[in-house]
Amino acid sequence: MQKEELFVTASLARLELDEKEAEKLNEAVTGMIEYFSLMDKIDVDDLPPTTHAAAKVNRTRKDLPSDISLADKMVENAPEKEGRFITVPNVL
Amino acid sequence: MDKQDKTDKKDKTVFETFIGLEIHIQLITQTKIFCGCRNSFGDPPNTNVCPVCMGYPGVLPVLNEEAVRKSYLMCLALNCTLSEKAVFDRKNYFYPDLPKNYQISQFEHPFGINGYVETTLPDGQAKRIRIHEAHLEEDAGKMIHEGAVSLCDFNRTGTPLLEIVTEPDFKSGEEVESFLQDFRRMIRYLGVSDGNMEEGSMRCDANISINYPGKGLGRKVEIKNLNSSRHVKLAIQHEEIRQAKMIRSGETIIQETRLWNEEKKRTESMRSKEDANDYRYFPEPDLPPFIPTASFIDEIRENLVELPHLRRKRFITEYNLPSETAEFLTDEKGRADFYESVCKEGTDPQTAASWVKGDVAKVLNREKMDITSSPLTAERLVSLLKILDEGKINGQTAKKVLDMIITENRDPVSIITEHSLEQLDNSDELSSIIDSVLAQSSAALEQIKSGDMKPVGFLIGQVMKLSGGKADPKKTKEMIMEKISAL
Repeated sequence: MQKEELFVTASLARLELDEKEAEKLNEAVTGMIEYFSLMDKIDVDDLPPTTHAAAKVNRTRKDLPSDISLADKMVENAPEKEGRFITVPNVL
Repeated sequence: MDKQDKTDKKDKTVFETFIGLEIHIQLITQTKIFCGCRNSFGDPPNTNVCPVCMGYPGVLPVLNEEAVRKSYLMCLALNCTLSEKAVFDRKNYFYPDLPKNYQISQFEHPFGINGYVETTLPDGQAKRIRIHEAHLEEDAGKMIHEGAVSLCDFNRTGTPLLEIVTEPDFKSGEEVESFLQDFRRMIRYLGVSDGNMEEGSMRCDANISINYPGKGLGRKVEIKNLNSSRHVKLAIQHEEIRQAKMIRSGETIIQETRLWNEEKKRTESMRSKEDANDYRYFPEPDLPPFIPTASFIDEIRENLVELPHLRRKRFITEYNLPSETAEFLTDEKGRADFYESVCKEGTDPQTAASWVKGDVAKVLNREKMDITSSPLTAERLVSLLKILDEGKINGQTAKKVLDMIITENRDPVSIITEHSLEQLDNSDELSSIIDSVLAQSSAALEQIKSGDMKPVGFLIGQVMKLSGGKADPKKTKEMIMEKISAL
């Protein structure tokens, strides 16, 4: 794995990495990727990709509102809020 | 005008423009796409939220069947090929308006692909716009950025949103503007969305590129933040000029996302993060695929109403209406349905059209009412027009009665009876009114006797006044003339 790729991945995950940490993490991640690449040796040419563990399809629900509301509790639980708004550091 | 703007005085090159749209429409459902929270606009912040749409761990999304139905209805209206197996995917991105850190969308196998829709261009020409795909996804929440913080309201998070992507088939901002108006009419006819761009229930991003004629697509720029069809047009026109200037001066167009600045009437770079487009899509493991059966599709097809542009054409030929009238009548489905019910009851289509377009529209506008929810039912208008046609009331009275039907929510017969508005024809009452008018109009009578017929109109007016508008003008004139010749 290229170190630049690691930094891109880190920034997508909103992680701050310094050079030293990157060095260490790069080694670990490279090991993991190499381990996963073992699977490339398996012949899957005739197999359709498996996207779901269960073979069920068309699981839907009726368009009916639920009776219970946890909204107040969830707002209460928010670490930072203003009135009923949940706040985060300004992202604009 | 816009061709001139694109052409520099020294450089006469006219560029070719390509525009494709991404239109998001909020589907009308009672609940959100994957949970039982209400899908409603304007509630206090964070009232319609639950662990599913707030991205709590361990929850299981379950697909709302109404959102699926409305999506398929749109796919059929857009003549899309339906995926045999539609799959939901996770689109990963980090932004506080979506607390799960991914949006459930459809990537490889959307509900519908390769469709088309007919539109009428501003010059009246028909044009076919190809549809690349239509996919269902969840909407994000709303944020207000205020000082050091961003305020998050997750009521909209997880509401069903259908994204329709067109091919780059538009050539100008005018084409896009008129298409969006047609498109809005279509989704309202189908009842899938209210299509309100100002409130955000229909949102549109435009991808635009220009190039030398015959050279194919140029490098595209995406414009966001367009909240009316007019702004879409203005933004495209602005962008055409900006890109043409860049190409002429030898600059390279940067593929980027730009925001429309409504106040300054220009597009501005959104400082896009180069790596932000790596969404790492993968199939959503918590939602099984959806396979539409033939009977499911047949059932949906039954809800496919006649679309507005076809109805407009039919109105012109079937009812022999001018195109402008047909356009007005078919603009809203409720109005077109109303008009057709009135015609079905035997009212002359021309008469019905002139009433619906004229006095009915006038009173409804004044009362800020919609025809479908107003007290004026088709039956009431039919009954009123029948009474008018039979000569029991005159045109002026009919207008008054119409007003009262709408403002008092009553049927015309009871209004006419209560206010005794029936016309006086050759009744004794009319005769005696005429007698008293003639008795007071000796000067006018002299004039008429000497052969000047001008005062007849004056006499009719006096009779109308005395009768409280109930006199039949035709009958009144006949009787006046009879009485004068007998003098």
